[in-house]
Amino acid sequence: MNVWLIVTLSLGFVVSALGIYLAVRTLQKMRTGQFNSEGDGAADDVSMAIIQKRSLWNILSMFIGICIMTWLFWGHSVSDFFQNTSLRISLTSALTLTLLVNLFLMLPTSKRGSWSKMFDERDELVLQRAGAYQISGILLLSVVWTFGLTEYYWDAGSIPIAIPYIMFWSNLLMVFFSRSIGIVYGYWWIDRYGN
Amino acid sequence: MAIGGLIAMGTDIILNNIRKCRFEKNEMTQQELADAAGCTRQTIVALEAGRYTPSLGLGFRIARIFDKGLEDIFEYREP
Repeated sequence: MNVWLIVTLSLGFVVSALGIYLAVRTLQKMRTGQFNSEGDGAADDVSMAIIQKRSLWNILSMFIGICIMTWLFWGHSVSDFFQNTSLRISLTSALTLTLLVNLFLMLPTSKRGSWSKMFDERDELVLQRAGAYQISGILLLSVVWTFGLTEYYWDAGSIPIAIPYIMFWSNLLMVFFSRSIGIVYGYWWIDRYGN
Repeated sequence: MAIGGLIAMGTDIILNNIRKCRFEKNEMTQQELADAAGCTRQTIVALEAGRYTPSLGLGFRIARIFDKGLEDIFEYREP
């Protein structure tokens, strides 16, 4: 595997991590400012819920991961996926790394062991509602794939064999990505409009 | 009775005076109340700010911490 590719990927992740950190800090400050402006002194230093914070990080890290995968795939055809070993390894590594980051960040939402102490009924409510976003995300992606593939390969009459792999990957990413979006949106909603 | 948080759930209006009760009980902190009630501080903040309607279970637990009845803490008002 090309050394420069590994170096670029590593640098990309480091720069992305720094960007994510700054973005989360900015959002936290904005949120604190919002509470202060309402004159709620008791809530001056209120922080985000743990799951909310982790979901936000997860959205940003997955976004970066998807951008890196798109960048790696850019300029290649679908058939290159099986013919070009370097491309396949790079894409699989990027995907695995993205999913590992997701696993690390979102494990607390599994509500197992000591992590269950991070939850209360409000968090449970948000998590329950996030499931609807997962279904919506998968449905939306299915529509995009169905229409996209049908239109693009209509004349050919068949689709390349690598497409189902990419569909599976994209579904896998969408399941976690949409759940995190649902969690962040759920907290945003509940903070403003109640339950 | 001074009522603090106002919770509008659909068309229902549920008020609470958790914050007042907390200060009456030796200026109990939000974190102490959260620990005693078995919830997170964010939930107490949301309750006091009127952004969350608790379950009956949490409502009763909070009332017991303050040695009061449920309706001393929460008040339902017709919309």
